Amino acid sequence: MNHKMREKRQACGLSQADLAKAIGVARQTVNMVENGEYNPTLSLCLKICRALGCTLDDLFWEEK
Amino acid sequence: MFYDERIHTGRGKAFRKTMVFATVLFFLYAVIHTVYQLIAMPSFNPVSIMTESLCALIGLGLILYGEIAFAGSQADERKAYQKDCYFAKAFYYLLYSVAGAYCVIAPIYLLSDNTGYPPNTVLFFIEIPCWLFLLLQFKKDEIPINAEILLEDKKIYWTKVLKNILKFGGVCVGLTCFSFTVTLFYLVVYRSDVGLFSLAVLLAILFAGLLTWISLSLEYALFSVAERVSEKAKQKGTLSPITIIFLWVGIGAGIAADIGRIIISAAGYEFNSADIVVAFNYIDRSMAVIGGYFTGLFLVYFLSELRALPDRKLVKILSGNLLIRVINYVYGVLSSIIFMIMLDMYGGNPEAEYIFYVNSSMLSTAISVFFMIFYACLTGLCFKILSGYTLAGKWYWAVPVLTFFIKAIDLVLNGIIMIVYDRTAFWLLSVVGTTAIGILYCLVYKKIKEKPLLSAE
Repeated sequence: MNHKMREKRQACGLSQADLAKAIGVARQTVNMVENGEYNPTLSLCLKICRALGCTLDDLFWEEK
Repeated sequence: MFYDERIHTGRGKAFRKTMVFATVLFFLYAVIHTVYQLIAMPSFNPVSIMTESLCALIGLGLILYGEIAFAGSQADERKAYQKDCYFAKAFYYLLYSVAGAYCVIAPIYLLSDNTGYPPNTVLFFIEIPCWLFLLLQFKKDEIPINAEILLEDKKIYWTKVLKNILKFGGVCVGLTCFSFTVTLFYLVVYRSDVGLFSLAVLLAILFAGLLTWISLSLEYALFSVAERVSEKAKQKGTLSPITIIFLWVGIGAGIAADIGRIIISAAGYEFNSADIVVAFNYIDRSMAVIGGYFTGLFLVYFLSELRALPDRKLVKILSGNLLIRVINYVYGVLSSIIFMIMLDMYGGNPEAEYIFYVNSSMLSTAISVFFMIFYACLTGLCFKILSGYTLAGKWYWAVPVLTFFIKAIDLVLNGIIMIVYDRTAFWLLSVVGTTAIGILYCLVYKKIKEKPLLSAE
């Protein structure tokens, strides 16, 4: 589960559909990325970060 | 915009798996048909399995090329992307090959001294499970068909669907023209003696092209309607009316098949003409296939709207159901072959024939019990998985899951009734049972159609 992405999206006041529209993907894709069911490419990660106003480290870096 | 990298990757994988599934089915069908012809028919006609063999070879070639050319793509994202692109294209090549093979084989079939028009077995026995398999692969990863245009306005959506149908029509025209020209050349140069028969052969090619285009276009149009309606229902979180339509077509076809069987078995011997029995037999078989197809479509859309399909176990169960249907078909053909061989061995000894008949019925019952256990396990697993979901109208969804179990009862009764010779009562029971399930489900649907399926939790 990508809790950081879900929390950031909710903090920005966006629904999954809003974010999907902003970055040009299907709503299901956003849902699957948040649930950890789909591993996005770097290009999609960058789009998500730009839309949510944060860095790759903020959303996708996993501490071991 | 609805198309993205996830859909692209998912599509490539779904097409690859479907190509493997289709190639195995083509191969299996060709082998079984060959064995059946060698044993049961006075002579073996290789043309009768040429379409399936050709499609199996093309499928095998396309898959092998993809696997070899993009080997090691697991670790390399760029190669994995290229592999998905390749299989998305290769699937269409296989589809066009299937269409082309039928257009090419139809005149060869007629010219090889066959009196009738070649049956499109590819459409009935292979295309239908393949479409169901492909749909299942798409839905489990929440990938819609027509993803690029699904959220467009009504007018734009239907114009693009029509354009796609016409594009496929163009391919069919090209394939038909090729087959037509080659056959015309052959008839003019080598078979100028056959006269009117030549006209029949040429018309057969046009008919084959038209049939292929109509059948595949109808299926694409059906999926396009279903996707659009289902997507709207998903956005509202309710069940779509298309699921209920699929269920009713499935049930209606099943009832028609049963009625066909009742007429043949109860009054078959009263008919003066064997043609009527043959006609009802044809109705029975066609309706059974159509019934199975629409019940499958119903299950896939129903579970997809419940958002239960991303569950991998459920997908395995549904794939297992498709596989068991194929095994059941193989078993049916093989048992009839063994039956004929044994009767030939016992020829002229009525007592031995009777004992063999009873023994084979017992064997059939035992195999049916195996299938019943399999279907009972499927039903149990479905209940177990689906009970994990918090749904509005909690137990209403149990009705379609029960269709698995109805199939199990059907198989066992079929086996048992073989011993007592009379199946009419069973088929009557089947008509009443399937109608009752349909009515029950409609009542349930009426109650829950406006309610969101998943609770706020």
